[in-house]
Amino acid sequence: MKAVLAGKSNYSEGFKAALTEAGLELIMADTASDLKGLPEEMPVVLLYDAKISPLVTDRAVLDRSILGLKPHDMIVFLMDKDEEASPYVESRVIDAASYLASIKRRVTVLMRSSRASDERFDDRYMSARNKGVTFIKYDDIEISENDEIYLIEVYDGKISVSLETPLLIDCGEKPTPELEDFVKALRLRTYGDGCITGNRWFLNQGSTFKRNVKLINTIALDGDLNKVIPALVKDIHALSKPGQGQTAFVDSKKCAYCYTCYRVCPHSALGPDENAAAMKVNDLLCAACGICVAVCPASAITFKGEKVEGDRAEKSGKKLKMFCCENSALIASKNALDGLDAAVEAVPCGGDITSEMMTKALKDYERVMVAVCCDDACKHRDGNKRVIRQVERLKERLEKLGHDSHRLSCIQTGVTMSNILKGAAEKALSGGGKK
Amino acid sequence: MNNVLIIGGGLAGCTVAQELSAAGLDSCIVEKSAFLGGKVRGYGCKADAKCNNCGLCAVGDLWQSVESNQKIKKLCNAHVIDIFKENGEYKALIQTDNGIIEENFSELVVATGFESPDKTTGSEYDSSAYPRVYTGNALEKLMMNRKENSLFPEAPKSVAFIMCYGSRNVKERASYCSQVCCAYSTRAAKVIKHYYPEAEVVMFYMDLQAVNPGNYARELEEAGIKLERCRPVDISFDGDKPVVAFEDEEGKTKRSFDYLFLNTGIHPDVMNNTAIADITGLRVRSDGFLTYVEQPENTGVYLAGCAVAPMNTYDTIASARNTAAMLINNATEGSVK
Repeated sequence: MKAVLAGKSNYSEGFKAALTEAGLELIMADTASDLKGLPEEMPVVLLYDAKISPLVTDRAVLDRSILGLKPHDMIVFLMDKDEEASPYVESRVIDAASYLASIKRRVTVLMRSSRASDERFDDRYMSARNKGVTFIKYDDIEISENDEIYLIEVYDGKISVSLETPLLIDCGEKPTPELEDFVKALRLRTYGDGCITGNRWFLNQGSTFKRNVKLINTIALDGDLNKVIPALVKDIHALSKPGQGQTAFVDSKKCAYCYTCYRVCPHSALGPDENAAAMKVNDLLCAACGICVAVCPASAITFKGEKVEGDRAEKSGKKLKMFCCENSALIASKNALDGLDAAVEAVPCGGDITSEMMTKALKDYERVMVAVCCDDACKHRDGNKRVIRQVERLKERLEKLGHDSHRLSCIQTGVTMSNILKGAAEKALSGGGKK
Repeated sequence: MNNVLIIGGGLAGCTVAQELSAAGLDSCIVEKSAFLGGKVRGYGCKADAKCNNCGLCAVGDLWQSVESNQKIKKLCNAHVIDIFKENGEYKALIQTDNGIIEENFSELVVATGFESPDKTTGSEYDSSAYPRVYTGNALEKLMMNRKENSLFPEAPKSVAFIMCYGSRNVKERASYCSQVCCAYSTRAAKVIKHYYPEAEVVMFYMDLQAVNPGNYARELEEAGIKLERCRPVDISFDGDKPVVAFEDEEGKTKRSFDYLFLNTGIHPDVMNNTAIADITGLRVRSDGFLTYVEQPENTGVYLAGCAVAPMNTYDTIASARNTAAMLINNATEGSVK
């Protein structure tokens, strides 16, 4: 089994020895350019350390820097300024702050949000508060410097407080330039499984979207490699087993190499395969959303594996045709449309609905409705917005041609909005068409 | 043979079962109520014009897929009476509608969730007796049953939210933060403002702990939602309209509102947890939630979801997936040996 050990760090040698012992054949990649030419599905272990102020991590540096301060001078730790601090940084900051408080210094910690109610942090916060550390949560902050004294204006949404300090410690975690190169080369994203959102826990252990990339923060290791090695070896071996679930598949004989799928794929799973002069799907990135299958002009893309096909009935004699997104409207439509003269067709994403599908449905049915997710809720990067734009364009075209555009409508729903979906369907069925 | 017994068929239990069946492992869910889904099945989507990230999309149609999955055995209206070891195999005695049955298993997942908060703290303002007071569950029902242009029976002029109701209160034996109340209530406030832009929405808060970091408080104020930092002293009634007594800059004030929301949080089901802890060798913490005594790999007893600590939807799914991953790892390791 081959694997890549990427990133240069003091622990590289240790990892190399431990992983080789576990039976892995390692390829070393010190810089991002070393990754070129390696197959994309090869497992990658990325060692990195984000830069944190040494005042937070190194007690000796902290001791030295407070030597010149007067006993009553306040020391301020500033967290979450640009990006939310990771649990590791938070724990280190609280430790440093309670150390200072225990030697009778005035310490304030500024933060946007705290993990005080988290089990792992419970005791830490409690002991820090008992020692006399002040925690202030802020919404907005302004910092100015005057004669080596920092003036901080903190606003919590209601009131503002001003602080003065000779020692302001920025606890932000900054990725090193080398790490940014790796992130770009490996095309990493933050956790995108629909589970943890936004920039929370950016680049923390395990929080990558790609299955074959394992991230290891070497600062958090504290020199103990055994913390991570067994789990890591197990994970890499698990990757060698064939994946489950379905992915898209390009028939290289039919493919016209037109790059249409490359442009529309929200998961960047499609790329050119120069040897075959056809597009290729990266199984690890493909989310089987079906968008490329729908747009391919040459019908060269199909699903590999089992794909739950929706009810693609040609004609059912019903009055209303509803295209429902599997992630929202289809769930809301269960049991909600009983007794209505409507046929439901499941689509993997709103972005999967083409204007051809809609015009064909308009030919067969009297009314056509598209039901997709709310704004910002799309799992496939704004497929809902794409279909709304398409519906608007199609309506315009229908009006230009002198047809009744009221026959086509569009609605955005959530998973439990059955009543709203039912109301909209009833409205569409009874709706005043001019015709 | 790998058969995992899962106590609790809510979000955490169903997620674990789903993940296990995807990896080819058998499981059996024991659920005390008549259907799967637990509390989350009664929740409503809280999107206004935009998605407010309440997490229900992440749940999706989990219930249907678990119900139709043949690899997962489902025992509803059932509870585990006892667990014992016989000839090197673990056995559970389960009380069902058809009498007591025995079930063999190799590992156990405890995903018992939490107690319906209305039962422990909101019961004094039951919505059948006080139609203008909404507790946590009543709010979810309201969000679930909303129509295209109406939310309440009549359009409100003023609405009040009282946050941390029953949480962070030593008297209620819940000194911790419930993690979910300010998140769901601010979302609900946005929805109300979306339906009724004219209505005045006041939120009495202690601390916005679990809402999105950043300029969220300011965002709420820009949406026209007033944030009032105080804990109301008393709730009385003028007819059926709730009157809230609170303290502001001018001293003690009394105000009547059209609707009042009590944002109850997550409370452990202490009685149930104690019983479970007795038979499984887990420990009940001082706050009433369950915790491990020994490493789960050694005992074969795993925890998932809100039985451990208050969690929102995303965290529950993450915790359940984590537990499932541990189980799958152990199973594959065993087969290699």
